[in-house]
Amino acid sequence: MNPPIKQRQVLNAEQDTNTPLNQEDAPLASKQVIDDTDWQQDPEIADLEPLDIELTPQKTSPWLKYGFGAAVVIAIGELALSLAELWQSSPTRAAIYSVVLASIVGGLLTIAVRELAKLRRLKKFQKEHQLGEHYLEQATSDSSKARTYCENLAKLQGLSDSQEYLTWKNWLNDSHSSSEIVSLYSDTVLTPLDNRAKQAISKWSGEAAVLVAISPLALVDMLIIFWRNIKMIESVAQIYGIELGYLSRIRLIKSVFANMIYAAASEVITDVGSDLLGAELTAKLSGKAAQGIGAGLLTARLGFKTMEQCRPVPWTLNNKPKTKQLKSILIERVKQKLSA
Amino acid sequence: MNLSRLSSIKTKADDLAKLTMDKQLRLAVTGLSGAGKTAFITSLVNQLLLGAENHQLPLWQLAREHRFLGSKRTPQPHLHLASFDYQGGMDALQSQPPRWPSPTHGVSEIRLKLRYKPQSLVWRKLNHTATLNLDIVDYPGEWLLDLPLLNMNYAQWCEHIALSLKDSRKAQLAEQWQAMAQALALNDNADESQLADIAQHYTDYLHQCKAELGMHHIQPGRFVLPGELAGAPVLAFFPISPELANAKVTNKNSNLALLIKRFEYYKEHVVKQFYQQHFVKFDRQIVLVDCLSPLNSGHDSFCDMQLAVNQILHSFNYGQSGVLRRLFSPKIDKLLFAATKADHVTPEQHQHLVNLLGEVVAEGKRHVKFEGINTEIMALASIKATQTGKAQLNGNTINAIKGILQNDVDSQQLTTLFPGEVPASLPKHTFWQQQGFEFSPFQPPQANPYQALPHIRIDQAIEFLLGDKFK
Repeated sequence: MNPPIKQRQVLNAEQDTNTPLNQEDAPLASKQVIDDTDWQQDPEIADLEPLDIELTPQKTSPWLKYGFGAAVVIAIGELALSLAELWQSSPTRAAIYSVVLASIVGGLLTIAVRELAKLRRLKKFQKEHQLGEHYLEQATSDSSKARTYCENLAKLQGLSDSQEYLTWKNWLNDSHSSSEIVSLYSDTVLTPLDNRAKQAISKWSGEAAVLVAISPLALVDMLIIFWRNIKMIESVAQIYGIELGYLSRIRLIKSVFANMIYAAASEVITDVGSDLLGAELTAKLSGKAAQGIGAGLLTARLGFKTMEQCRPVPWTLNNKPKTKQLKSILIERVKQKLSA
Repeated sequence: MNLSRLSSIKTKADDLAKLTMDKQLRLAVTGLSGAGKTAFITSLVNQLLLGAENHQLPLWQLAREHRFLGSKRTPQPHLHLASFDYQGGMDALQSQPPRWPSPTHGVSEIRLKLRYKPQSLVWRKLNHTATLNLDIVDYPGEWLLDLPLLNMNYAQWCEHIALSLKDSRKAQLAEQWQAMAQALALNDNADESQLADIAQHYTDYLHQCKAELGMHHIQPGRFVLPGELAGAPVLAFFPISPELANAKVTNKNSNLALLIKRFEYYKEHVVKQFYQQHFVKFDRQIVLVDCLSPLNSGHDSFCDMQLAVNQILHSFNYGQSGVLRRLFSPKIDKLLFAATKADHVTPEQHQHLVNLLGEVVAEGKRHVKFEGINTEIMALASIKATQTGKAQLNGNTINAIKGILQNDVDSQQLTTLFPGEVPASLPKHTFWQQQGFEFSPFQPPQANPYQALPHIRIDQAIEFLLGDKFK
């Protein structure tokens, strides 16, 4: 089975020149001038691809899908057939059934249309977010595009006649660059919304903190946090002018959570880490209060993530909100409630 | 009884708070002559005086948040300095037809009292407003070019000048004063009037270098911009050929002895004094650079401008220059490089202008950064003289600017033009051979006494230079 052992070979000088054994013996490549037309630039090393942040649930079996589809088709067919028969045997009953059926179908259709419209709106918002990021980095491009972008944004958010928007328009002049226009929009028009969103977050997370601090059961804690979080996401989205339907709510919540999960660990640590440690210290004094504050901080963090998703123009380094600012408010709230 | 005492304590506390709240800031403005210092200060003062309401300073955070309450001119602290002629500048801009403010020739100063709402809660509780006393000091960048003189003696300086005369065009201009200096009998008793005469010719030569060759790097700087020293004997010296300068001084009253004495005096009392009296007190500095005119004048002028700007930056490089270390402890912590006259090119070229200036100052900036000074580069126009828009040319839509050219002041005719592309990096020789561009000066807009002057990015400059003081 083993390959035959190679036999010893003695090379004479002639063979040796053709098959150099050592690197040093190899003739050095000489200089060559190459025609420029065939030049191919080496591709630059691309930045590392970010991890795909969307969680993809395991695909259901296609047979299940086909089966369901067939069942629905059969059900509709049966319904239509039995209705047609009924029309012949007893028209009055058939008419009543038809009306009921038609109203149900009509209602379902309107809901679907509305849901889809809201979903499209949310998708549009998320697309605008990417565009905003693009414009923020542009200094050279045509600034009129950035201007139209901001105007469309204001229309989408329903801010077209707000005082801030008018001030922003008044401040623009023909020599501002794209990034200046967009960051100015972010600073003038969006900052008031940010403040309102922050207030809402502090309210919801404060409530979550207090409720968790006083509730006696772990299960209740979980329910409370879930319920508060959903409420908070909705109100933050509303502040930024995003009206949520069922589908769009699920989509937003999904993307917020995906964002939370895949946010770099370092970010979590810088953001809430030291505060959670602080809560650990509080735990020495009161375990319940510490739990409450921890829950509040995490709720707040979720709120800020939601803001990030809903805000059409991304944060710059200076105006990025930090959970730290909320900590003192939370502690204050829990302390008040517990001592009262 | 008790109540009144309480309220008096409160007023005292308020007074104390006010004292600690009052902040001082000295902002120095410099640049080579023609860079637009006067226009910048006039516009800056104008924006601050008129800008509290209906301002056009959105990139300045304080104004954007409506916390800037207004400002007022107050008497300047240094009575021996010339006042900056703000009113004169505004009169020129308001005249019919409007003119650019006439340039200044020395150090001048203006003080503004800025009032604003502080952001920090503690201060806001103590008293509602805070004040910043802003001194704006204008001095010619040419004066900073004299810094290398401090490390030279007279003979070395003569050698340095002889080296610079290797340039044939300079040598041609220099013929006259060189001939006169050659003819001077150095060891004879000093002849004041003869020295003054030659010095005058030397000064003329420097002026010619500036005007005809577009040179900026001129030594000694005070000769072209004497300020209050015009006609003083300290400026009556000139370089001679290096071999002669090395000769031993035998006669204490000879021409040579007097030249050496004046050179030393110039170093000691003019150059050093400027650093000791003014430079040491600056908190913030803006260096204005006109990149466009040297681009117009050609390769040599551009290289010379680059050399001069980097020479200027040596003055901010405290660590390496032992002379400066010994002179004072530095205070400047923010330095802004501004490419002026950004309104003379179309807006999409501003980024190129910034990149170009970035490369011009790259070397100096690196050293300055090493000193821990915060630096930034931007393109601005102190007074915006043009309007931007789009124009049709051969069926293509191009960006263009519109304004009244300085040449058309009589006819007041509007011109629409695309001035050409600004190179985004240091231009090579071939750039000037193609000659596809020309930046032409425009007439300033008619100023309205009740409205702040139009500008480009003055607000951004304010934000960078002063923004952190309004906490």
